[in-house]
Amino acid sequence: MNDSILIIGGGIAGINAALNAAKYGTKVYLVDDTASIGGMMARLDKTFPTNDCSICIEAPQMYEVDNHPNIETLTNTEIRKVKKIDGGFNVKLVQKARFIDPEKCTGCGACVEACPVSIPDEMDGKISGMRKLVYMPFPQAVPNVVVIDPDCRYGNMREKGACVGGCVVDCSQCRECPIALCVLACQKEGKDAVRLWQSNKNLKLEVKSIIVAAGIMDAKPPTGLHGYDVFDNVITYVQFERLMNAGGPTAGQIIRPSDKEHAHRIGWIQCAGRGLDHGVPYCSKVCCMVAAKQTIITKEHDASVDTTIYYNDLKAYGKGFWGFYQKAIENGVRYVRARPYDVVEDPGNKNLTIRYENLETGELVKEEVDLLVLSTGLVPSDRNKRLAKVLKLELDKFGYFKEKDPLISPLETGVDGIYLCGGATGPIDISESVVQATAASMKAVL
Amino acid sequence: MNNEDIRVGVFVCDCGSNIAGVVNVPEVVEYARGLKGVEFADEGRWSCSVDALATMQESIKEHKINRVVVAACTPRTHEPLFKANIKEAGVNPYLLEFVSIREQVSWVHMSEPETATQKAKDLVKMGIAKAMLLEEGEEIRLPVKTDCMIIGGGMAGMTAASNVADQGFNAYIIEKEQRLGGLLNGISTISHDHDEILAADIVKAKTDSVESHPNIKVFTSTEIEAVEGYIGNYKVTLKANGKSENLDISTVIVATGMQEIEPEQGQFQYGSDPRVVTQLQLEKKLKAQDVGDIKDVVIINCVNSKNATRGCCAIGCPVSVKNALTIKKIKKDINVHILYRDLSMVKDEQIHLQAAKAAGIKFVRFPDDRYPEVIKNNGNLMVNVYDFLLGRELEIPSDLLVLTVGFKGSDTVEQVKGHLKVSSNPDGFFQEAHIKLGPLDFASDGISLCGCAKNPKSLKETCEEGIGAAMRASIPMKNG
Ligand SMILES: Cc1cc2nc3c(=O)[nH]c(=O)nc-3n(C[C@H](O)[C@H](O)[C@H](O)COP(=O)(O)OP(=O)(O)OC[C@H]3O[C@@H](n4cnc5c(N)ncnc54)[C@H](O)[C@@H]3O)c2cc1C
Ligand SMILES: Cc1cc2nc3c(=O)[nH]c(=O)nc-3n(C[C@H](O)[C@H](O)[C@H](O)COP(=O)(O)OP(=O)(O)OC[C@H]3O[C@@H](n4cnc5c(N)ncnc54)[C@H](O)[C@@H]3O)c2cc1C
Ligand code: SF4
Ligand code: SF4
Ligand code: SF4
Ligand code: SF4
Ligand code: SF4
Repeated sequence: MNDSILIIGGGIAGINAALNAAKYGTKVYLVDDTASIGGMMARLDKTFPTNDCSICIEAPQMYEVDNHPNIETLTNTEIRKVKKIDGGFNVKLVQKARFIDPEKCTGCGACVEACPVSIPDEMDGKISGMRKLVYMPFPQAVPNVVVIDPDCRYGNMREKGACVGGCVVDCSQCRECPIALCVLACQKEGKDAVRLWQSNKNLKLEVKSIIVAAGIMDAKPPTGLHGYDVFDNVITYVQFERLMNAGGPTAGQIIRPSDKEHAHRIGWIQCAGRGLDHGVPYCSKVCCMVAAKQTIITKEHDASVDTTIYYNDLKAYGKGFWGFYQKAIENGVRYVRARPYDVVEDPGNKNLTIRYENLETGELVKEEVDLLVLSTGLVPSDRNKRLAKVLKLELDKFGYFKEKDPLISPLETGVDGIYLCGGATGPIDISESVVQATAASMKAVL
Repeated sequence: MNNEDIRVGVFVCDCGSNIAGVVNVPEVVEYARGLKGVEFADEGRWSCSVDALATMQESIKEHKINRVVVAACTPRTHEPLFKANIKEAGVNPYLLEFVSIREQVSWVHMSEPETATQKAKDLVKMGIAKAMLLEEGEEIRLPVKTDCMIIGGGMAGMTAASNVADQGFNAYIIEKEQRLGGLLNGISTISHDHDEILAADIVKAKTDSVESHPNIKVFTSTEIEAVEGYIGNYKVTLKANGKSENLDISTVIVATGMQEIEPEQGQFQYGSDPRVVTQLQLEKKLKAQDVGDIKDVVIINCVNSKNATRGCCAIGCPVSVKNALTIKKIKKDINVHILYRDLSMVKDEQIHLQAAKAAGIKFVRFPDDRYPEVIKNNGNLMVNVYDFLLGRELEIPSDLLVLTVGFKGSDTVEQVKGHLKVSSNPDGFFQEAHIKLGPLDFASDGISLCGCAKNPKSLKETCEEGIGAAMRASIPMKNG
């Protein structure tokens, strides 16, 4: 019988499941459908409740994954078909073309420098992060190999100034390219790693068990919610996290999208959209602490910035969380129990006036801020539906993977041999993800 | 190797702006370059990133470096990484000196860049001096056998034991009480999706499987007298009914659970009136399906929690909702009020909350700094509470008053700390190795931690931790 296991999702949960199983002596395939492992944690600045730098504590684990002889990492890879066989599963996967030979690429960045086209980085949304069409997902990416946006190779970026897309033949028919600046730059470095003609690769695996670690996503605010998508200076809490991140698009400068000026009065609306038609129906568990973290860090950058958290309930359930909330208060963060009802923009200076009911006094209050952050909560990965279908698993009514019996056999699913961990099971923080990942790896190796 | 041959390489990390935002890193690098013995010094934006590590290896080879100083975050999380990296570059890992210029410099001198830069220079200089004295060493691997001792026979301990034993390893459960099950023995039901299961059924199923497992040995009414040794080789002395017994143990799992913090005498009339009980005392009544002839139940949440010294009790909100629903099931016309500060329910808990509202349970929010008052009037208990949302004072009669109290670790925590040389917080909850990435480990190898011994949590989370702790204990046993 085959003795290896498959882990789907390379966030902090998938990484920890992989490391534990590998150290146990089991061969692991760690699959992520994006260009690097790391998941949400790779995008965060600090982590509550200790304010450890997020990527600084995650990168050593990513590096360990990369170097462990028992782990094979497959990024840019999707699960297509899974068939239950005696003692395990047959799995068909597709590794999407990266247009780079990962064996040859050293991550030197010469191609990135040479590329003439910059587009907004999906990771950073409206806070103006840009990336080239050939790019490194982030500096600590694993594998540390660049990736080319497929839109470029397919000629869709010609109008934006891409150097390819005008040839009479399709790149797939070429074996060398005299045109593309990235190709030339790489050759000049003596590496010749760019492969515009690369195609998708089909892979097949046989494994004895599968761990689903497909994670969470931040909820997108419904359009118009508190002025989101209408007013420039209303952003989400993930965008704010990127703003304050030293490794983010503004190198940690907390500036407004409208005029790139430093924000001096910042408001956070908690539970934003919760209970509304397109909002999240439940408490997401982490966003209260995320807001505490973001305000503390903001105050550390510049103590004179006014930070106000408009909230209804405070979720401070975990170890050290309450102390962290108290630290926010000690640092001068203002907490107001409030029910916001609308936000208007001053068309001149783009400042925002939030109008809310103060729950403590019952008064209607108006307050002006320079930047407004919406804590929208967590939702399941948007690929869960497809993955559930392929794995023949059930999702619960919120879209998270369903456990067979959460109390009697936690982390097990309706299919024998498939286990869950991390955000795949519901809203969760990092340490809980690591706990579940360790538990799921125990079940999977047996 | 004599002094002539020593060639130190110094790698100073920016850690993005975590260090470079405060410390003038180029200045530190320049300074290091000028010091005796230093062959090479460089700055890295993120020294732990894959490309920086590769560059570090190249520099080590190119400059024939044989002592490495890394000035960066903290050895706690990053020393193993850099050790492995220099090993790959052909340098004995014991020839690494780690200097913490983030935790010890940039984070403590955030607003004093000059002091910080000077301190970083001093630390780097000391690190270099120390590195020059380092000698090669060898990793000693001690053989680890396959006997795991689990301290505490609650749900966490039992779950850990069965997972250890299922692999063919031996598990020994040490329980100080007469029977296995811990807290769950005193609880009526556990809520679960849309319905409930009897806690007794869960305990029985688990106890049966543990007691009948050929690889598990259960010691009840037993305490630990002494522990000696180190990972792979602990000598444990047990004490039961005045008799001593010895065990040879390879790894240890701590699962000693938690207990309610008893309210002070007279607090909310507790102790002075038998109608005032804690949640756990209420569970006993619910287990017997007998709440007495009562009409008005009031539950006060966050008692002795979320104050200057203690955090959130973590499970009080869902437990209060569960027990309120059970009371309603026993007798529909009992009025139940839950007085709360915050009530944020995750996923399925939200469904229970809605069920509770549908069943007519009343929720009253009180302000953080204005707890309800309980007074006795002609022998009747009255609860005065300021309803935060209505903005006025309410007076609610109560013939059963339930206090949702906070928790602390087991009474045996100090003893366990002494045996295992581990630490805990002031409430007696054990301290894990790393709050984010080492949640099931202690700082010492070979000892893991699970369940409510770490902090309060639900049964599901307790069991997940039990399974996870089994994995952590099994890795060294599996590798021998
Ligand atoms: C703004 C914000 C701030 C936060 N701050 C903190 C904090 O300070 N402290 C804390 O403890 N927690 C914090 N969290 C929560 C934390 O991010 C999560 O607990 C954690 O990321 C969960 O890890 P995970 O591995 O389960 O999921 P993820 O990090 O989401 O990783 C999942 C991975 O799976 C991949 N994937 C998804 N679907 C598929 C598929 N179908 N096929 C292949 N791969 C797939 C994704 O690409 C991703 O790499 C924060 C969350 C947000 C949104
Ligand atoms: C009132 C109440 C209601 C609850 N309701 C729910 C619910 O509805 N749903 C839910 O999910 N969870 C609920 N819980 C939580 C659940 O009970 C716990 O998560 C779980 O029981 C904890 O198990 P444990 O093994 O970690 O700890 P414990 O149950 O405390 O077990 C620890 C064991 O270790 C033993 N021990 C301690 N020290 C030593 C020593 N030095 N040597 C030997 N033995 C030792 C103790 O005697 C005990 O048997 C509730 C908890 C309470 C208090
Ligand atoms: S130039 Fe070549 S080697 Fe360098 S990052 Fe680009 S593809 Fe990789
Ligand atoms: S082909 Fe040209 S536009 Fe496209 S990624 Fe390469 S350099 Fe950029
Ligand atoms: S690879 Fe071939 S088809 Fe593609 S851009 Fe280069 S020359 Fe044109
Ligand atoms: S954790 Fe999120 S959803 Fe829950 S109360 Fe806090 S902000 Fe609202
Ligand atoms: S009762 Fe609820 S809010 Fe209060 S301390 Fe306990 S879990 Fe936290």
